[in-house]
Amino acid sequence: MKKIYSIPFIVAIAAIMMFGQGQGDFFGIKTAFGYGGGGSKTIVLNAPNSWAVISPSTKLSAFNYTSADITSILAYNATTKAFEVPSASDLLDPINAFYIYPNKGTSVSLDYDTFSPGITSKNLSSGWNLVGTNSDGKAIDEFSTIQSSVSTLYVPGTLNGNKDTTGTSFGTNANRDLDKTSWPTTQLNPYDGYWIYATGATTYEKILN
Amino acid sequence: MKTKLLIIGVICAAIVLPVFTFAAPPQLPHIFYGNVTNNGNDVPVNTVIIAKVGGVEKGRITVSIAGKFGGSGALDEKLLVQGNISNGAVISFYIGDSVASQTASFSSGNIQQLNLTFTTSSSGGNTGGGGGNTTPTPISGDINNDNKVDILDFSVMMAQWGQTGSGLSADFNQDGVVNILDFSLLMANWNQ
Repeated sequence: MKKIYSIPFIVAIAAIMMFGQGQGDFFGIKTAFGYGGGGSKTIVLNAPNSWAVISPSTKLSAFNYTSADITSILAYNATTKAFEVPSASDLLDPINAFYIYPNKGTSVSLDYDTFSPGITSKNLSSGWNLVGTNSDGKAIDEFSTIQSSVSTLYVPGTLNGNKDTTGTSFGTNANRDLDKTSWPTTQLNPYDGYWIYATGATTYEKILN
Repeated sequence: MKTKLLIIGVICAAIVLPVFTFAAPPQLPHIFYGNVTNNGNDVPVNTVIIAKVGGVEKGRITVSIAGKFGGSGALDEKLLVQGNISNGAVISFYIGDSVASQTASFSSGNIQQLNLTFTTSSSGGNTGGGGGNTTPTPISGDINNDNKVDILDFSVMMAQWGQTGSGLSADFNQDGVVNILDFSLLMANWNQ
């Protein structure tokens, strides 16, 4: 009988825990931004004739843009150590980041993929790699699987800042090197791209939850 | 004591400085696309354009549409000139040994439409893809203009085998297709 009286109390505690979390949190577990059964987000590229760095916030079904408004999109191939034109499918993975060059003020639309939990991974080569993440977690958490292989995190803040997003934006208008002592306090933006210097070949994995 | 501290400081600097020297991510390339002609004719497909700075290759692109290299679309291939290049360095463009009349000054991140013109003499130039679709060499077979018909020309022919259209450097008889008739013309001049 006493157990019945405790049910409302348990429900109330659960409700507080659920609704007390910020966007992207579920019982304290970081979840992918915008993920879960479709939807879309529009990102404004606010600096015409300038490069911006962008990364999908989660797995996409489509990366839409007005072709006449975008002159170039480049990815960095860490294996060949050279920039290259990515394939359309490369634009759909939150683990990737790329440079985009609008010739006018325009926007891109990210169409989220349907919910499908899993892992996405990217092979990193020794040297510089350009990556993204799928959550607004701290750097130490977002790069937890590759911490021992990364010596430098470089935030291309100026180019990350050439777009408007509603999420937390770290380092806007400031390029900076971040050593590991600042990783526990450095919050990343799932729409931003980051350069990381790998001391050896490794695999960067992210859980798509 | 001061001397020891100085030595320790120098050693520490020697260890730390290399870290800072590589602590800059790669710079963006200078990007090109445009039209390309040789002696006024569209350069044929499969011609390779090489960009050099100081005589060293810094990028290349293969012509996929006769008379054009790269495109203006977001995901169109472009000629990416990249590497450890100082802004302002002179970029030259080559097809084989032939150099374009135009040059450019390297500017990281710049996207530039640049029309390239090559001029080769009938006796010696090398455009890698022949003289274009209006100045054919019907029976020479010397596709790469190295003054001999050999396995290099044969390999280009194989790459174009069965292809149709204009601007095909291996289409010696200019009938719009690379086939056995062109092969027989190439064999007629083999090793010449």
